This record gives sequence, structure tokens and C-alpha cells, in this order.
Amino acid sequence: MIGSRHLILLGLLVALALGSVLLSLLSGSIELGVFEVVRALTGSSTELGEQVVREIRLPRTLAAFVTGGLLGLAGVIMQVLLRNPLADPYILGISGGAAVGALSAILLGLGGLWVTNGALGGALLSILLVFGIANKFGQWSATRLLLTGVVISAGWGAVINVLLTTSTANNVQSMLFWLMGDLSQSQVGAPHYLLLLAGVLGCLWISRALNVLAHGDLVAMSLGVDVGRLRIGLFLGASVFTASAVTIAGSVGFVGLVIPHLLRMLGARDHRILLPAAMLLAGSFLVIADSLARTVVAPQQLPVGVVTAIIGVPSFVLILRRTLSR
Amino acid sequence: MTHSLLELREVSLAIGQQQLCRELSLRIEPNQCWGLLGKNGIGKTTLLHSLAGIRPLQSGRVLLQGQALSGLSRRQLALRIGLLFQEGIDSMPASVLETVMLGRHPHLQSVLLDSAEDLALAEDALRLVQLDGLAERQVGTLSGGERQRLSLATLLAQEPQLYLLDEPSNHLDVSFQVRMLDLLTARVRSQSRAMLMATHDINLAARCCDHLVLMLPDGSTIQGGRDEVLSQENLSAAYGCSIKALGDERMRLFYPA
Repeated sequence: MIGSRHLILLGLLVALALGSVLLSLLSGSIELGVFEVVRALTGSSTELGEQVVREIRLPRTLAAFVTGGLLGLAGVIMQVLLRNPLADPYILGISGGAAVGALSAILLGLGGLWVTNGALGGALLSILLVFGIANKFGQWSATRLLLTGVVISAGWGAVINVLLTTSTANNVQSMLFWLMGDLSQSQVGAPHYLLLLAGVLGCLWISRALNVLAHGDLVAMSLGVDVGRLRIGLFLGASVFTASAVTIAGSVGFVGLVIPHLLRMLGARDHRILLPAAMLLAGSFLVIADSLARTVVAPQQLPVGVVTAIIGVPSFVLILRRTLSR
Repeated sequence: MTHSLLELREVSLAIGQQQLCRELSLRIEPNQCWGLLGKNGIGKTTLLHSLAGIRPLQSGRVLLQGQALSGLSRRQLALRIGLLFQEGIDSMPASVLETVMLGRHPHLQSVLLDSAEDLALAEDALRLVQLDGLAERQVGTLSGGERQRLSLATLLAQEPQLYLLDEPSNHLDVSFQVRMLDLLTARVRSQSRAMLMATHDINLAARCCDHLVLMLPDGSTIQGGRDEVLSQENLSAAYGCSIKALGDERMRLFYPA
């Protein structure tokens, strides 16, 4: 059910998203004020500070938001589909496959675009493997998918360790950054924005069916939901979201697992609210985490995946304790 | 020729290797309340799930108002057939009103917004099962009986033509058993609906149903009007123990001897 407090929540999250983007545009080694940032966004001056905002900070901020948003959506979907609170976007082994692809590219000494393509190829390969193996007469049961995903992930884990232990120290540094999730090399373009937009709209379109599906397959079927088709669509959708996210930023952990739980604890259980809210909160969260990742130990940078965990864990524990005591 | 609301033609059911009912043919007409009786594990739940279209048949056909069940979409089915699950709707974190609104799912018009009409129907259903004071409560905090009434309310909100009930009296005290079933049978008769109710309570079936199907251990069935089916011989054969009747034409009570 949608109540006024849900609309307020969504409103606050939109404000948070805008605020986090502004914060991210303001933070960095060159000190700029709000006025200068706004002017940089609207104008086309070639002054250094404004160029930094337009060409360095803005693309990275948007990459963070898109990555977070996609992971938020994928996390909600996986948790409903597998009916398992531990489910996250990476549970089917997609990040493992992407990591092997990306790390191989780094090992071969190939740069930026090749790492991205390697990650995409690895993610797609992993999806094909998991769905191919778990397939039984054209049906995919949650348990079979979950088991196959866990096993395939373990396999990728072993390959990743081989790659790490046989690489030079220099390569290992970039590999570790990739594995922990890092936005310093990220590039996003129109396809990513369109995917996020289509993802949110598509999720809203089926959000009521998700509300029913959360009560189990049989109940959903008896209430008119075409469970078989919906499941396949959701698995594929979540896989594409996850594959895109890891292609942009490596395997940023924590966001896709915790943001949906956090919102449910705050009362957003209806998927009509939960899905857009998860997209907004996960996006903002990653934008803020990335701002910190590149400023806290400047001029050094931290992988954003480390920061998400460092600020995410305590806030999650706090909210968990507060909702339990109520 | 008019079609029956639900017609079964030589329906056979199996679970794994185990054969349940064999070549069951049955016609359910509007205004009829059918009871489904038989031993534990004889296939009552399996039959109800198959009729609701959520389990495949082993063989045979099921026609809903003359249309093959297999040719109807899930939504078309859910608009006409509603199923009360034996286990009820599980206690996902959700409020009582949210759960009743699930019943309106097949009817929903808008992708995102709840219509005032749907909300009114959901609230009506809660009032009918006397849960109207608990609309905002979490399902997890309800008692077993309250949860069963909530499942019934969800079914009422669904407004199907055919009510399939799997042990509707589960967790209900005597007064609610009678009240809830009177509510359903009254609705069946006033709105030309029909119902098929699986139960292990012979006396409840005798009280609420006008027709009965008795599933026998050999896979055959005895079916017909209540008074023909409910005999000491039939019941003893179905349950594999001696069952005796007490009382007169007006009211009979069955008990294991």
C-alpha cells in the first residue's frame, strides 16, 4: 500500500540524490563553490576549474549513480526471486565471471576499454553458464539457480586467485582495485542511462506482480501472475543490470545487498515504492561513498567498495537495532 | 446448451509414481456447494490445485464455463477461480490490508494506483471476517485463527465465480467455523457462484454442502447429493474405519465407532 509517508520518503530520496550529486561535484582537490559548479554545468567556459567539473567530476559522479542504481534494482529483484534475504546481485556468479574477464585483460597489459569489454564478456559468459547448467526442461527453479550460481562463483574465485598470484605487483594493484569496486576508470554513456531508465520503468510496470510473487509461486499463480514468464524476465533483467554495473565499476559490494533491506526496515515494503527508492538510495549512496573515496586520503584514492562497507555497516546496524527495539 | 461452471472429464491425477484419483468426471453448477471428503493423502489438495490451474493434470480435461482450463491465461483463471490454501498466505512482512489487497490483483486496472473501489472491496472483506479493526496490523503478529480469516478475506476480495477451499476450518474456533462457512455459502447462493471445499470434518461438510465427492482409496469416487453420499457404508469404505451416524432426517452426526 502506498501512503503519504511513502511519497515523503521518495521525495526525500530525490532530494538526497540531488544533494549527493552536488556534494560529489564540490569535492576534489580544486576548491570550487556551489556557484562555480552550477556555472560549470550550464556554461561552456574553458576555465580549468569548470573544465574539471564538466569533464572529470560529472562523468564520474554519474557513473557512480548509475552503478548504484542498477545494483539497487538488481538486489531487490534477486531477493524477491530467490526469497532469500542473503541474495544480492552477485549471487549468481556474475561478478566472478566479470572479474576473470577484466583481470585477464589487465594481466595481458591491455588498457581501459579492454578491461571493460573483458568484464562484459565474462559477465555474459557467467550468465550463460549458470542458466545453461541450471536449466531443466526450460524451467529454472530458485534452488537450482542458487546452487549453480554459488558453485560457478567458487570456480571463478579459484581462477581469480590464480590470476592474482601469477601477476606482477603492479598489475595486482589494479586488479585489487577492480575487485573491490573502483570508479576511477569508469565511463558511462547514453546506453547506461537508458538501461537505468528502462530498468526503473520496467520494474514499476511489474511492481504489483512482485508484491504478489513475494508470497510464493503458488499464491502468485492462483492470483493471476504468470510466474514462469515473470521469473525468467526478472532473472534476465537482474543479470543485465548486474553485468552493466560490474562493467562500469568492478564488483562494488554491499550496496545491492543492504540498501533493499534498509528500505524495507524503513517501511518501504511495497515494490511500487521499494524499487524506485532502492534505485535512488543506492545511487546516492555510491555517489557519496565515491566522493569520500577520492577525498579522504587525497591525493591517494580508495576503492569505492571499501568505503561503501565502512559507512554502510554501521548505519545498517544502527537501523537494524532501532527497528528491532520498536 | 449451457455449460457447467466447472466440468471435469475423466481427470486423473498422480504425484510422482503414486496414482491418486482415476478418471474423475464431475459437473459443478452455479449455486452449488460441494464438499470434498477422503482420507489424508488421498489427493484432495492436489485436485484443488489442479482445478485452480496451478498443477498439471495427469490426463483428462477441465472445462471452465465450456472453455478448456489449459487455454486460459493466469489472469483469466484468477478472475473466475479463487483458491484458499491449506497453509494460508504466509507471513511475509506485510500489513493486513496489504494482504487483502492481494486478492484484488487479477482485477487491478492501474499499473501503480489503488482504486477507491478496490480498497472499498478489501475493507468490506475485512469487515465480513471481523478483522476490520486490525487493518494496519502486521500479519506476523496475528493468531492462527485471525490469519485464516485473513486468507478468507483475501479470497472474498478476489470475487471469483468458483471458490476452492482447502480445509477452510483450519485454526478456526467452532463459532467462526460456522460463521465463515455460512458467509461463503450465503454468497454462493445470492450471487450464483459455486464452491468446492476439501475438509476432514464430515459434520461440517454435512452442514454446509449440498453435494459431496467422496474420494476412495482405490482412486474411484462416490458423488452426488449430500444425503445419498453420506451413508455409514460409503464413509466407512472411504476412511477405512467404521463410521456410524446419529440423529434423524433433520440433522445427522457422524462419528467413528
